[in-house]
Amino acid sequence: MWKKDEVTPDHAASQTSAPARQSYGSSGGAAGRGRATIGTSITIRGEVTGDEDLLIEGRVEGSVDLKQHSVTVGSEGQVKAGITGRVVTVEGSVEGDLRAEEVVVLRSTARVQGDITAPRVVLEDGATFRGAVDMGDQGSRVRTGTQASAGRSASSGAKAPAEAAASGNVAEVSP
Amino acid sequence: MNWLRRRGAVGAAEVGAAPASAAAAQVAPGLALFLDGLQADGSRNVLDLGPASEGNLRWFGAFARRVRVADLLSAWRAEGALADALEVLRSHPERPYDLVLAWNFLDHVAPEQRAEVVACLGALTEPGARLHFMIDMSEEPFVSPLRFTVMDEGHIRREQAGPPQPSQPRLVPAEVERLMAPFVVVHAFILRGGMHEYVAVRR
Repeated sequence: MWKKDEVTPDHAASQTSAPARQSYGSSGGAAGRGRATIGTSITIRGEVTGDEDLLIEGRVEGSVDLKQHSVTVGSEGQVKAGITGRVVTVEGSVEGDLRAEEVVVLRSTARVQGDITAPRVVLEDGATFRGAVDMGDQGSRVRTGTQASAGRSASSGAKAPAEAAASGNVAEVSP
Repeated sequence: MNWLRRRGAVGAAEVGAAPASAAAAQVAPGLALFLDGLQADGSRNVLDLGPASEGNLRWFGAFARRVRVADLLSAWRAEGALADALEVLRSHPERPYDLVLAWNFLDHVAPEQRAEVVACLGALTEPGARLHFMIDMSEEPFVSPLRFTVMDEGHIRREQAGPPQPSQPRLVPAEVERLMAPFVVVHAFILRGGMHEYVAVRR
């Protein structure tokens, strides 16, 4: 996971209300070389693109597109934009669609309104999410580990009411 | 402030804050019947009126190409009016929905608005769609909305989530069928603690 000391705030420190089409990180590249940070006092309106990982602690309105990299909306981050990344992690607030090549993670402090498209979605207890999760063609990967039990439910579920009634925890009534 | 005396109520000084949430497992036999015969083929549209839960997402995701988490109580608060929140719900492109979850929602709606909610659910679905809903009909309803998470095919976990809601007159079983007119209730269970669980099918 990311470490605080990997944050490189210098990219964003001097930028306020950046113009549209702001790109971040010409020196970056593969994950592990650090990441750019949009600090808490920074507001960006426009399109954010780049070639390194990004931590957003400030405000972004527009779009964030880092297809091959991780995008993290920190606990102070407020984003009104669609976000595209390899991994998208939200700890703060997002109004916009989230699209990830690998996984979207909504931490317990996340507040997200928008649709999610990703092969895996992690939703921690406490996260607030309103929107749709698109299982799409990659749905089978989302379901790993749960499909078997769900399938059993679909095929053998009729046994459950009788068992539950026998346990005394439930009574079936005529509808 | 009768609603402060309901289950899970907090002291007056704490009103507005969610009370400590104690999760409890609950038998839910209707859940298996709700899914009975469905293939986990990822072909359906699922609408969950409740708050987001990873467990539900994973469970129902097996059946769905798209899962809509409406968190309708939260949307209602955000929009300011229930009608506006329902209008937003109607605007989503993936309708009609094949599977609808309405757990502990109608309990928090004023009696004169309940038919509006059900009519909306009718408009969002087509004949044959399945509806699973739970209503707290206990003597002391929970003060805060409940978040339900599927644990397995016969059990569900409930916990209080979100700020306390104003008290609404309790729904009673005799009202349910009339209220749910666009749907036919095919299974009904009284669960321990006064929660009623229903499985219904769109006419």
